[in-house]
Amino acid sequence: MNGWAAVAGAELRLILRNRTTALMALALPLLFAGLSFSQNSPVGEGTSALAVVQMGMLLSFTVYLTGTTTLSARRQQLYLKRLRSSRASVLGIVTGLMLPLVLLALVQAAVLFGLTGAVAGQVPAQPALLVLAVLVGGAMFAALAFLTAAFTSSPEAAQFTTAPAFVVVAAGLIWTLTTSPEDIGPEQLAVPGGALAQLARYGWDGGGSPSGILLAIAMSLLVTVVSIAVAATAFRWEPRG
Amino acid sequence: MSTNPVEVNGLTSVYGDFTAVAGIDLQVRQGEIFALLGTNGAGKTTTMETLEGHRRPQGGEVRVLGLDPFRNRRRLTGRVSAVLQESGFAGDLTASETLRLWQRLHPGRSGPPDPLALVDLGHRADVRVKQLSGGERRRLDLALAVSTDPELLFLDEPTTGLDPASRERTWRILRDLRAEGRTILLTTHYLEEAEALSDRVSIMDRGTIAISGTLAEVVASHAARIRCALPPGAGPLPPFEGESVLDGGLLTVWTRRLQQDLHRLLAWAEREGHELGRLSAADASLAEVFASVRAESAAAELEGVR
Repeated sequence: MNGWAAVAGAELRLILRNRTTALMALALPLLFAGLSFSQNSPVGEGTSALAVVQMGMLLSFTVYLTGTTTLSARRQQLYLKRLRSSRASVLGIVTGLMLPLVLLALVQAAVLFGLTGAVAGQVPAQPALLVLAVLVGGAMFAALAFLTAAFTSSPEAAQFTTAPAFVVVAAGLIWTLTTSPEDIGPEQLAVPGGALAQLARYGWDGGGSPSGILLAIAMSLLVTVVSIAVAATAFRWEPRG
Repeated sequence: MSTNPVEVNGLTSVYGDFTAVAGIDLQVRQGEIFALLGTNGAGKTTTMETLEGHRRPQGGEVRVLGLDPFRNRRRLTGRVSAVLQESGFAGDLTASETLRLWQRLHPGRSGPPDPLALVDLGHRADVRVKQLSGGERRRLDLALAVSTDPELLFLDEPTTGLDPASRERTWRILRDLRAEGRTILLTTHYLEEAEALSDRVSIMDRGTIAISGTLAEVVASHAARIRCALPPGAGPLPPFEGESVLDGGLLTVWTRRLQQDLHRLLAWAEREGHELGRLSAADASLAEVFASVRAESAAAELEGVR
């Protein structure tokens, strides 16, 4: 994990200084999530389903899409090559680049959940579990961004290369939300997004056995670890050519 | 055991079926500036990338500060600094933020107190990198390289694209670094750069080292040149040790015995009462050595095509 703090500090500055990335990271997810207010939640019932969809959108855009774009852009600028020639480790570099996005998603989630709770007149039953869901989800989407960036040749191409994971995650969310909590089994949790939805739902509505919660966390971490392992071997630190 | 900072024996590097480097030997000694010269495609950059630990050699042995650079790349970082042709800076960070990031990535290695001032960038510390000129960026690169207190520096064309003033400034910094006992290996297209800076040079050509040694040795390996204009109707020339060519009244003598042949020419002119015009005599320049290496290479290539 060598160098993660230094890389993260620099990356946070870069995000805030570049108007396009700042807009993409800040405004777009809030806009999308805000849209979810304007219509009834497509799936499931009640406020928790809405919150789960909002969390999925935030993580998908703020962490996953922006993260994939960032990694490709930094590679194109040869910034990754430069970092690789320092003492920083692979994990330190990727963590440093992704951490500001995860923290940003956490702040966005806090704002959005606050709004949602105020509109619905509800407070989350287990807020700590909600925070945990965003953090575990942030780590998973950051790892997926690393994996996707390994197969993304330019920042522009990220618009297309991220599409498959978007579909899978959306499917995982919907499958879990349309299944009642007690009927959720490993098959739903195994789909990326499914376990996160389950965690966030417990966070909002309460309930959930410790073993069920641990299983959901473990499934998300498994996706995270496998993604990082594959990405670490497939990732190119310099642009092609 | 050798104590040379860079020891290369029989390095071979292959891309697919193209041999970029074909078994070269290279020794860079402690505290010297060593210039690796060569045309594009000669294998300089591949050699540098191997020394920097970015490429695994296909053959031969490479030691940087006594270690295999490919296996020990991260251990060597900091002790060894590389300035690549492309800096890889983030444009929206300022010069001082970029420097600070680099220093934080190399904990425990502190170089000079103010590396930016060292490269005359102190007044540009708070300017974003994307607003720096090309020359300023190269100097920032050098500041980063120096900031980790390296024993050894690899510089890939450090002054390409710089204006003359910036180049002079870079040369001065490199000489200062050598004076501090640091070892520098640089590649360059510019012969005057090698002449101005380096203690020893190697000229690479098509994956091999054509000539190697101190500047004096390299230059001495090539014929010196005497040139003058003869007056019309001058009689037969004296015998020279070297080869003489008379072209429309312009005499050129290529010789490895400059003093003797010059003496013969002058004595002959004195005896015959000739006034020699535009008389010059000089050792081969590095440029001439370089040109002859290239000419030989082109001839060999032509031979290969036939």
